[in-house]
Amino acid sequence: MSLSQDPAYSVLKNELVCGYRDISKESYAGFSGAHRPDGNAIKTTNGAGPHNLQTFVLASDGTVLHCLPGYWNPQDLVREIEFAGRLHDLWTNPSLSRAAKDQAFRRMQLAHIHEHPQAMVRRSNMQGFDKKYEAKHRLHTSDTVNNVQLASLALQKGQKIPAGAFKTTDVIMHERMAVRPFLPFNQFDVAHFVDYGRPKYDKNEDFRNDSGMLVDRSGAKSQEMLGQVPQKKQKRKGGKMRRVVQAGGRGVVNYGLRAALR
Amino acid sequence: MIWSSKRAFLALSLGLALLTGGAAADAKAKNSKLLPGYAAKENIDRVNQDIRWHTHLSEAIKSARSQGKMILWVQMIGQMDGAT
Repeated sequence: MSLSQDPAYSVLKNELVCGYRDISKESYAGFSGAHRPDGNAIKTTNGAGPHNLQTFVLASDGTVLHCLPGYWNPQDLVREIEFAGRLHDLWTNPSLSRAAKDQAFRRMQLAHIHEHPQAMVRRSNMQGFDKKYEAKHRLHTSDTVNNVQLASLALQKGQKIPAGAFKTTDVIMHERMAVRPFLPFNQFDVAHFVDYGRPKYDKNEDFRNDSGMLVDRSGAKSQEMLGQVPQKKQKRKGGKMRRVVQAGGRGVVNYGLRAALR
Repeated sequence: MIWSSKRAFLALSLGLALLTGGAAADAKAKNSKLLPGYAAKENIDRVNQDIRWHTHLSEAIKSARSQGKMILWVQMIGQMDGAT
């Protein structure tokens, strides 16, 4: 629901050089259910599935201008590409020193948060299971937490997580980018940049009906898993869920990616 | 800030894309939560047929330099022309 749909599609086709890399074997990759090309896709939120999908915008010399972790709505993706274009102008401006460029980069990244329309902010609410993961594993240290007291409610079963407990993913993205000014791609610490929420990300699209309701729970539970599937998880499923890291193979996909491409 | 003509064109294109894509996308999005497999496959085929996807960053950089364009570099689990 992102790259293949306008406005993103036209921009990719006409304005950018595109490329991709399979990160199945990377230690920071997450995992999810296997999915064929003709499988269903479902809507999700901005920044969902950060371990499984990252979209970089690079200058023509390979310098990282921007990175969007996980899925992003096509309109929001285009907005961020336009922003990367502004950073590109800054990067290629011959009259500025490197220090001045870095300073402006930080300022522009943080300022762009306030340029996001309300609809984009609403689309950037972190997934509930990711909030719970952050609260459980790093409540007092996570940069995704906005208010520790409110965020701690995520640990109580059945308790609704209050608005304002966690930052939205659009904010997290820009804050993390702000401390990574104009890095060469090979120096960009992807593992840390995308580290929020749980490694598993799947919406079980192929086990839902047309309304999006999950109708085959057992099928969803026993589906083949892809990516960096933890050993513990494989054993618990009695071999039904096996680790599949098919470098160069077909049929490998994750939820964030599915949503992004369709 | 100084804008090159190419950059200004990109900004204009992106601005127009935002304006024209917004309303239609919103209306569509409200109506459906799930995209059926056949439609998803059409979209994937379209992305792969119409856009050239480099698989080596060095090649993408070379191409971007010659065309004076930025690079969109996607990192994902799997293959662009495979399951997705």
